[in-house]
Order: sequence, then C-alpha cells, then structure tokens
Amino acid sequence: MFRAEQLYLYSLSDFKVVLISQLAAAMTRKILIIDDECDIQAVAQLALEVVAGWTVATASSGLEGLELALHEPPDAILLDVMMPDMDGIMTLQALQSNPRTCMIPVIFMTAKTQLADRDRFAKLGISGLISKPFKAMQLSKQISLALSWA
Amino acid sequence: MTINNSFDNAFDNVLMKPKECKTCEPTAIEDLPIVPKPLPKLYRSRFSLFTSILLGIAGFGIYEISSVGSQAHFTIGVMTIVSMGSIVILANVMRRLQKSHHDLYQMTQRYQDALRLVSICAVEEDTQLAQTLTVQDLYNNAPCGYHSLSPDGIVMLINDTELKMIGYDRAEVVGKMSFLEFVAPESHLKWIEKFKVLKAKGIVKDVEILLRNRNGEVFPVLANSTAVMDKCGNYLSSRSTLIDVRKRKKVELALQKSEAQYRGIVEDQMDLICRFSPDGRLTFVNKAYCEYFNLDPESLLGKCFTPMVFDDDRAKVTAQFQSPSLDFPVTTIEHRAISANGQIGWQSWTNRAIFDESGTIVEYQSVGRDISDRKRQDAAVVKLTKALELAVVGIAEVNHLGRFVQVNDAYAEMSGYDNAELIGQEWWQLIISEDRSKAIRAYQTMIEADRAEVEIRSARKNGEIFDRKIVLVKAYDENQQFVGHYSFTQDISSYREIDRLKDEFVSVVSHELRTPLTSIAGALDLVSSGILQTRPEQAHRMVTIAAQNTERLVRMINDILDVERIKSGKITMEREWCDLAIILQESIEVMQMLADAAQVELKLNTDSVSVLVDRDRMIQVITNLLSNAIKFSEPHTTINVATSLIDPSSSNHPVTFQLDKPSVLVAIHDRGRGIPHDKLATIFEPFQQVDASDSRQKGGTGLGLSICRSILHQHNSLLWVESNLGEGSTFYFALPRLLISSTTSV
Repeated sequence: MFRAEQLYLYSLSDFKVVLISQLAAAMTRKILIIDDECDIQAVAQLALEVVAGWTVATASSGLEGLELALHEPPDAILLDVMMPDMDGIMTLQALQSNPRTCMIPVIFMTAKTQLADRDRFAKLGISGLISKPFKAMQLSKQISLALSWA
Repeated sequence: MTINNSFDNAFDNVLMKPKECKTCEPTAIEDLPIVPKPLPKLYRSRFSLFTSILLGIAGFGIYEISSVGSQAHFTIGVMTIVSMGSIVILANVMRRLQKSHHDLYQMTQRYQDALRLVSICAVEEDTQLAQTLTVQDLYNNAPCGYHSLSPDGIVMLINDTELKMIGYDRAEVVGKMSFLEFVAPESHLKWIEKFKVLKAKGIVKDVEILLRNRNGEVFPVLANSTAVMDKCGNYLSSRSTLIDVRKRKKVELALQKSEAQYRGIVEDQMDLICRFSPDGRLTFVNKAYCEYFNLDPESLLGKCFTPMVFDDDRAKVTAQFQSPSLDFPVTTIEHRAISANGQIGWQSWTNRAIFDESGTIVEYQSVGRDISDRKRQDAAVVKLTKALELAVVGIAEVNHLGRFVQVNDAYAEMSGYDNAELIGQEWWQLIISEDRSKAIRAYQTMIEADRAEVEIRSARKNGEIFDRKIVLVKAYDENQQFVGHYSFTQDISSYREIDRLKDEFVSVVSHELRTPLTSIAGALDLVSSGILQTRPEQAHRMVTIAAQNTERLVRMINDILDVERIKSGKITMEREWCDLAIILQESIEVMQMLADAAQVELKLNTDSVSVLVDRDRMIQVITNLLSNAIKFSEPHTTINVATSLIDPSSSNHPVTFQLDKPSVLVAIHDRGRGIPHDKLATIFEPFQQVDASDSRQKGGTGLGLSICRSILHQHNSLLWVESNLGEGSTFYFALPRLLISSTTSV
C-alpha cells in the first residue's frame, strides 16, 4: 500500500518540518501499476520508487486494479493493454464510467506497436502511451511528460 | 428468163445459135450412132437444162453449142415436147462433125420417131424432170456454195449461192474465170496446194481459205471438195462446197476475245478458280489453283479433284454436289485440302452448277480461297474464349455506359449472381458504398492511362462482403474507338484473411516477445544505472528477473520456431517402432524433478504397446502435457498417465470424441482447477491460455499445446481435453490402429 511518512512534532520549526513533510508528502505522486506480468510490475515499481520517489501500488488484473483505484484513487494509473479476461481497454472504460475514478489520468503500457493499434488507443481518451520495453530509468520522466507534471 | 438462166448455168459461156433445118424423121435414140451409150448423166442433165431453155419453143431446131475454153462443139437437133411439164431432149451430139442438111434431116426424122416413143414415156419422164428441177433449185439455192472446177481450176459449174458470195454473174464466171481469182492473196498458196492434193488424192476436207469478192471484201470460207476421176484416175472435175464462215469467225473471234478477257481476269485472281464436270474431273484451273497444289495444268485437267480433299471431308464435299437446283444453283462449302507440301489447309468454295436445257448439271464453276489463317484464328478465338470462360479469374466486359455486356462463370460465381442477372447491371453497383469513390477514381485512372488496379470490397448477392482486386483495362473497337472496358477480378478475401491472421500473429508474437524483453531491459537498466548499489536485495531481484525472462524469451523463440517448422512440414517425423510404455516412463522421469518441486505425484498405468512414432517428438508432447498438469495441479495431488486400446465398435471409448478406427488412447489426468468450457478449444491455439498470469508466472510460453497438437497431427493423431472446473482436466491423444504393429491386439 502507500508508504506513510513519520511526522515529528517539535517547535514551530518542527511545524515547518511537519509542513514541509506534509508538503513533501503531497508532492509524492501516487501511481497505480496494473499489469498481469509480475516481473514488469516489479521493475516498474522499483524504477518509479527509486528514481522518482513516487509511491507505487500494483495490481495483476483489471478487476483488482479497479478495486484499488476506487479505494485509494491514485494520481495516475499505468495500465497494461494485453491482459486476460478484462484487458486494458475494458479496464479503462470501467474507470472512465465511474465518477470516482473518471478523472484519474491513465497511461497505457503496451507491446503492441502497430500504428492501427496506437490510433485506436489514442481515441479512447488516454493521457499517454508507453511502449514496452521501456527504459526503467526514464519511466518517471515519461510519465511526468505525458501528464505535464513538474 | 429462168429457163435461160438454167441453160446458162449448165453451159457457161455457151454460144447457141439456131440453124435452119428441115424436119427429119425421127429415129430411136438407141439407133443414133453418135450418141454415146449410155448417155452420160452429165450430158443428159446438161441437155435437160438445155431443153428447159427451149420450154415454150415448139417444134424442133438444130442448135450448135460451143463452150468457151472447151474443145467441145456440139451440134444438136432438139425436139421439144412439152407434156405435163416434162421436157425431153433428144439430142444427137456430133463432135466436129459437119453433116449435111440431109443428114440432119434424117436425124430429125429419127428424132421424131424417137419422140413418139418418148411421148409414151413422157408421163414418167415428167416426174423425173420435176425432180430434176427440184434438185436444180436445191443446188442453186443451197445454203452453201457449190462449184465444179476444170483440171486447170476454171469454174465450170457454180451455184447461185456462191455467185452471191463472190458478187459475180454466172456468165462472167463459168468457163471464163479461174477459181483462184476469187481466192484472197493470203490464201493463194494454200488453195494451190490443196487443189493439187485434190487432183492427186481426190478429196480435201475442211479447208479454210479466204475469198475476195467483187468489192474486195475478204471473207473466210470452209471448203470441202471431191474429185471426179476417169477410169484411169485422172482428174476430170471437182465437186466442191463452200460454207461462208464469216459469222462463225466473228463469233469465234468474239469468243476468243471474251475467252482472253475471261482468262485475263481469271488468271490474275488470287482466288482459286476451276471448272469441273459432275464426276469431279477438272476442266479448267487458273494459275492460283495450280500454284496452290503445285501442279501444272496438264497434271490437273482431266483428273478428279477429290483426292486433294482431306479424307474426312470427302463425303461432305461429294454430298454437296447433290444439292444444287435450277432455283438454287450456288452452294458454298468449307473443307480441308491437302496442299502440295502435304500440309492440310482449310478452303472455302463457292460452287455454281451449270445446267443444260433439260435441267441436267453439265458442269460446275467454282471459286475458292484458302481460309487456313482464318480457321486458325477462329480456333484460337474459340480456345481463348473457352479459356476465358473457364478462367478462375472473373472476367467481365463492360460497355461505355458502365453496364455489363458479358461475364464469365467465375465472375458470376464470385458475385453470387447468375450471368444473365448481371448483364445490363452497372458494374459499380456491386461495390459497397464506402469503396465506390475509390472504384470511380480507379475508373478515371483507366480512362487516362488505359489501365488501373484497385482493391475494393464488394457485396455478393447474399449480402456477404468480400475483398476484390480488380484490374480495369480500356476496350477499343476495330476503329480504335473507346467502347468500354474489361474487368479482371480476383476474390482476395482469403488472402486478406491470411494477411489479417499474419498481422495478428505478428502482433501477438511481437507482444509476447516484447513482454519478457521489457522485464529484462527494465531490470538491467536499473542495475546498470547504479541506483541500486545501496539496495543489494533489490538489485539481486532485478538480476534474477532479467535472467529468468531471458530464459523465457529463448524458450518462446524456440517454441515459435518449432510451431512454424512443424506446421510447414519442415520438420520431418523420424518414425520408428517404439514401446509407448517406455516413452511414457522416460517422459515421467524427465518431469519428476518438477513434480517433486510442486509436490505432485506422477503415476503411470500402461501395458507395452508398439507404435510407429518419432520418439523424441513424442517425449516432447508428453513432457509438455505433464508440465501443464504439474503447473495446474495442487500440491499433494496425483497426476495419472494411462493407456488403453480402443475399438470403436466397443463401448469403452471416450464419449466426447468419437474415434472411427481402433486406436491407442493416452490419457493424462490432473486434479487442478480445471478449464472453463469456453476455453477447451482455444487453449490449443498459439498464445491462448486459460489464465495468462498463472501460466506466465509458471514460465509458460503459451505455445506448448499448439506444438503438441502439431506434432500429433503429423502422426495422424488427435489431441483434445475434457475438464470440469474445480475437478481437474484430462488431456487425451490417440494413435490410430494402423500405427500399431501386428503384435498388438485389442
């Protein structure tokens, strides 16, 4: 789940520390990774946590990811397209149809490189597309760029 | 006076003068010493003519007659009796005899006696005279000329017809003129020669010479002559007929001219022209005919033409000549002929029957030409048309209005319509609306560039949409005018489907290969960046992930290649007689470690069965199935492997899959979570898995069952599964009985 920063209350300077901590906490992005490949989950999670310092949650199926997003809406969802049963597109539609999750930006992760597929994805209202394989060290930068994060 | 003319005719240039005489007592003719016995007919006839002049002259008289040019002088006493139109002449010829009047008187008396005798015969003589006159008339007025010539060619006798020809009077000619004087100079030599022959041999026939008449007009005549000879064979005179052949000559010349013109036209013709009799014998052939058969006219004329007709066509040709009639004299026929070099060529003939007055065919006139090229072209056209009709490619002819004029069977079948239904339809109406603009653009390109290609979708009659590739080609008529276009159409639906499947496969394979690559690349990227230096556990995990996925990638690539090689037949099965029990045992031993790690028991229940299989590939199949069974089995469960011989006639064969022949059945049963019914067929497709996450977690590539199926297919074997969710799955494959050796019994 999400990691919590321990808060220490001291003096006003401590309050500043708390405020900075809270602000820091507020600045830490929360990313939900939905991908049926555990190894890819692990790589992506490590890359975002270590490189960008973001908080990362993972889900192995569209259904699981939907439940997590409803419970604790993330700042962004990194969603694999090719998954069995409920694939990425169905998961996206489910997210978009729920008022609690419809505003969460979704970035597709896909190994499908055909232009027709990319054109199709673009019309679905996603915020970005990351091709597999991706550069782990650049993953957070790609996400920030797609979502216009600082 | 006619009688005078007759006398003149008898004695040309005769001088006649009456002499006074006294009446004598007649004497019988026989007693007249001077009268030659018998009186030559010639003389008798002459004297008949002579007497005819005296017709109307009563009594008698003594006349002296001399013939110019002749030595004959006649002194005759003439007593005329006119009785019943008959005139009898009694004459006493006295050559160069000068008799006294007394003698003459005595002769006259004798004549009178004779006359009395003659008068008894007068009645009979009258008839003879009438006949004689008829003959004379016939002679003079004959349609041809008659003349007689003396030994030196002087005309002694000539009829009126001939006199008219030459334009002279008898008095001018007889005894005075030589016949040579009437012969045109260009025929002189010929006549002289022929006259000599006549005098020598007594006859000349059909001599054509030119005469020249009084006016200088030259004209042709045909002469036939016989000679009058004496006892010693000496020529005395001739009897000749002359036929004026001017008209005939004119006709002949005209005919020759016409013939020459005809020949000129006929000989210059490229067409073969001939005439032949009803029995097929050639009577005329032109140059072209001779050249065609490489024979000269002499070799052809008189010969039957049917040997030059190809054997199989002779009956047809012969039968054709039975059909002409007066109303329909012309017939046409095409047949094969054998030309000079032995080659068989086609000819077309127009034959006209020529009929005589009775309506019988007397000749045929025929004009023919070689049509071998046309026949070859026709045959080529027929062949091409047949090929087009039978072509697999759809071919349609469309007119300038865009409507179908003709379509072949393939086109009609492709569209789902009958040929007749398409004729008249607009070609673009078969194209679905979304692609019509594309088709119209292609049509415009064809108009500009004569040709265009386009791929569009069309709708069959039943509404089914299919992909078509069309080649449009502009069509022109013989005057190079645009008349429409030809459309060559190919149904490429299957190709499209293959392309789609290929694209899908490439997409799927690409995705599947990229998935482990993503893990490898991402993990190594993090490790190599050094960012995990302070996090050794995570670094180790990343390296492990990279290694595992590398192996997975390798397996996947190998499996993909295997699937393709097996499907395409590039991998041949090395079959040998093997004990199936041993193969199963070996497979179990290979998977034992994995089974132990999963805490799953492997059990084998089989008898020894000999099968003809590729040993290694069969182990690959069984280990693959065992691997799946182990992956999806819960710990502390058992996987059973069993074999049984199946006889379709018995009841001990699987219900779900009916086997139509005795087989060996292998069953691998696990107690895993089972497979949903909707996945039972799809799991054998490449990259189709029940739950990808589970399988991939367990190292699967998604190609195992596809490979197993391909290998078993190469062994003429089936692979199927029966499963119940929560209870487990049983994978079956059967090896047909023909693969079982004779040692095996059911």
